[in-house]
Amino acid sequence: MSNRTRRTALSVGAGVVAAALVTAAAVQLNAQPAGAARCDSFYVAPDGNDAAKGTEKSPWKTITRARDEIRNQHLNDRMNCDITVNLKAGQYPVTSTIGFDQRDSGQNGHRVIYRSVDGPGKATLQGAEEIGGWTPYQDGIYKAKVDASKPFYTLFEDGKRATNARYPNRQADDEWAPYLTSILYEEDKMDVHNWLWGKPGDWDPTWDMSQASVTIWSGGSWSWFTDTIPLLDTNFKKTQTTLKYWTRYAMVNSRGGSRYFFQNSLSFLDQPGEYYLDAKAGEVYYKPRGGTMDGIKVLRPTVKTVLNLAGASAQDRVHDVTLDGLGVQYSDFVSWYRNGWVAGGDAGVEHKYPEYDRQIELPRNRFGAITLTNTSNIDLSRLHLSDTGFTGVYLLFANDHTKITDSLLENIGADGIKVEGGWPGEGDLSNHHTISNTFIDHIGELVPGDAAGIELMDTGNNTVSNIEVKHSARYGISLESRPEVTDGDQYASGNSFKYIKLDQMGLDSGDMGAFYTYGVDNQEPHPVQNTVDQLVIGDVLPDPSMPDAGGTRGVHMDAGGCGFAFSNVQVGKVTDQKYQSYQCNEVTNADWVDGFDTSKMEYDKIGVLPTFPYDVSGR
Amino acid sequence: MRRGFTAGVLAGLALPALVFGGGVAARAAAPAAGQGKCDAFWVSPTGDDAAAGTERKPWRTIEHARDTIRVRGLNQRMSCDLVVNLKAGAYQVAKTIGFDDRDSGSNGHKVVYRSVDGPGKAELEAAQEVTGWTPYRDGIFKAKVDIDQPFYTLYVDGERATTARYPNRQSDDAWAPYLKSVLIEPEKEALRDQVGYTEGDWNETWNLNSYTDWPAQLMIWSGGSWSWFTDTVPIKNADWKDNKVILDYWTRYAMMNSRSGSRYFVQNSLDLLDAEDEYYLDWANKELYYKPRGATMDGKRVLRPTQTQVLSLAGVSPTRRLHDIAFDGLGIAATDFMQWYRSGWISAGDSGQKHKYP
Repeated sequence: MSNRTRRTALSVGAGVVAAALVTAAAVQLNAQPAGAARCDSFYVAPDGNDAAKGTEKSPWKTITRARDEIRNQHLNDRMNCDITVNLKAGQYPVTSTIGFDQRDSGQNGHRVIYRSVDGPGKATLQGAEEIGGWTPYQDGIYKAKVDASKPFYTLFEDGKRATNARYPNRQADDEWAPYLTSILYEEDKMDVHNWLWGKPGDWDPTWDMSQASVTIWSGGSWSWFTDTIPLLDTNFKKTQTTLKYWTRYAMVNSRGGSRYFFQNSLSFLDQPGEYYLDAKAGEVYYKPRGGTMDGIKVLRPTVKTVLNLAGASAQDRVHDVTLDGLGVQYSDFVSWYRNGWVAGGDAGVEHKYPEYDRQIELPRNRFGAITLTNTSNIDLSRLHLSDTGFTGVYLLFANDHTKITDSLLENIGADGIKVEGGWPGEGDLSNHHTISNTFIDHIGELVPGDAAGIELMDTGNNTVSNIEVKHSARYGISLESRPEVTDGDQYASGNSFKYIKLDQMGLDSGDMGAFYTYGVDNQEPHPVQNTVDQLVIGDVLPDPSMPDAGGTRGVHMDAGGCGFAFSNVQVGKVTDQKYQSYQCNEVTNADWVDGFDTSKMEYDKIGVLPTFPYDVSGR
Repeated sequence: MRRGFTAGVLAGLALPALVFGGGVAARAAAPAAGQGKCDAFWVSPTGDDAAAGTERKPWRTIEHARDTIRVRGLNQRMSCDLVVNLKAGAYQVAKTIGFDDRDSGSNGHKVVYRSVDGPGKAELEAAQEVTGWTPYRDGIFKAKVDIDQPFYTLYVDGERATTARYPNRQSDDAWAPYLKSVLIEPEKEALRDQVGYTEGDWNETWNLNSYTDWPAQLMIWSGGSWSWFTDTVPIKNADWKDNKVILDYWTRYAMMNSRSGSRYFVQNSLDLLDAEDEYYLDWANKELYYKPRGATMDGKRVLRPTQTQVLSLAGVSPTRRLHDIAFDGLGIAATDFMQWYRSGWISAGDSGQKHKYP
């Protein structure tokens, strides 16, 4: 108990310090905390030298050098003020994940701060390296050698994601359609998960499928999750291919096929902005958008996670560390992606609610470009996170009092921010997070299925405010557990959502809502435990190819989506209902209810605030 | 490398000698001739852990012997084998007995735990006796069981009893006869969590304890025409209208294969308790039902398992192993099963971890 009290006190103190810092930093970039003359301060610059002194005039080159200095000299053992590591403007290549652990924590209510000293977004950690040595191949395609032992699963041209050569070609850079659709080949093969049949004539027998994979909205008439899976063996005569791994759902459902496209074959490389990796030969092919490689910088990701903040255990956390104003750009995707296990119990480990195996990511996919686990009081402020292969910020299991504020996340491979509290009924591990004044733009670029700007799983007492999420194939914000869970075991109460704007949601999926909840309150009497106020949702209109008859909604309170109080909510055009829910939530002043009063909407406060550090005007 | 290999060979030689020696001259079994100072301890079911651990004043538990060796570091610089002699009798194991890298032999010598009165005479039982039987009805008896975990198999006079099932087994050591699953709908061949049944095969009055933590189970050779693996799976609920039951977990193979159904029986319901030597645990009320052979519980020793593992030998890591330890002549009996069993994952990659060969 005393421990908990202390942590809370620490947290409050830290919050005040951090807020002061942000303000001070904006005014005077070299500011030291007032009245603390002997506080350590170090400098890092892209053209620095790790053998230097780490001063402003003689900066180090890497953030890890600064971390190790603090760690090895025990500068953070008895702190009486904050330690600041100032990163000068420029690009910092990250060739292996930068780790922070319990040895790197702040102490005595003071923090260890890593900040972009020249202003937000000026110092950028890049999890990628340039590919050089391009030679013309044919048809405007160029090729270059790469290390065959280090394959990669997404690619970037000058800060813009390239497309893994696909068939059929995408209709626009930020759309996933069009697709082909699988068929029910034999009646008894409806529930198979690893055999895919195409319509006869859909596939060209000259295609080289030897290193190809498929991205598929498995589940037939459902459009909920996408799988990306390498192909094992393709039989053109039968228009059939065998996948290396099982899909989340069966290929056919209610006699409806699944939408899919193939990718990663030289046979598919015909569009500017497409690439193909021949991982066996160690060659990458790319067709530049401007027709020439002159002046083009092509970057291949080097890491899946750029920053990993991980204490040794839930009892031995990394805490009181601030990352302020950092740019974090580029991270890798994976060779195979499936959302969770196919069936409850499949984790192979005993759990109180084995159904949650279908809710949590596979162990191999529990990461983000920034990953936090076993942390307390970590601040990610004024972050500019972009061009990730998978989830942007991933909070896994034991984390509390994380603050993600004043940040811009854009062009994200999967979820923007994902908070995973772990299996219900086994401990309240993740709580008291603050996500505020944050813009999340274009998510689910590689994993459109189940994508969310902010996905909260088995986590509670969080404050989510002044959020703008734009462009998602599925959700804007979701809060989930499982419908089988006994109330109290979800740890998903006490969340507050306020001043939220969700725009261009549900672009490619169905049976969804821009704001979505599932399994967070499953039994009567559903007292109000979570609140949503001042929520504006734009049109939620899917691609015409989307087959799910469930349609799109503004707010979808799915099974167990109960115990909420909604107030002041507005929803644009939808294909189903603006609001779908059981009779277990309170609604005050919403535009699907008669007597909606727009004067109660605080439009000027919804979305990010005028103090937002990045220019997002016009978005 | 060389030293380890040598040690292994020596140990291998020492072990058979011990086995042969154990029955004939157990009492004289001072380990390895010419090593006067080798430690030997004694354990007996009637012993006392506060005693000296000698033949005349034996300890009561194998754990105490292990801890004594560990704490005193008797296995640190061994010049001969260290022997723990377990006297004949049943040793009740209430908790898995763990050995780790602190319990290893050294210098090519072994730590030996042996049944000193002959092979099989000292028996570690992962079970507790159930007593206080009273007649219930139809030749069935019942008894209270003071448990905080359910158990999944039962032993009577050293033989496994049968979890109440339908159809009843044709003999004690045969699994047949079975029912056979049928196709629910033409396109449902690949399903793994639903079993279609033939109308009349199931009795709708059976209490399957659906939606509780103690439901009836299916034991099924999933895979239809294949008979390769069996699954034991809790039943979520029955859909009497559509003649199918829905399972809590997926089976190894699909219920139908090449249009052939899978053989199965239903178990774990009081309504299925009708044959001799069948039992049913009413977990909610902590009562055990058993129908004894000969219509009497007189002289019957019923053991309910408390542990799935009796001995766990586990080093900390592949580089910090437990090594050079021998268990000689011990009886190990009456361990528990589990609520759900499936052989492995259904499809490659399902561990969720990266592997070279998923």
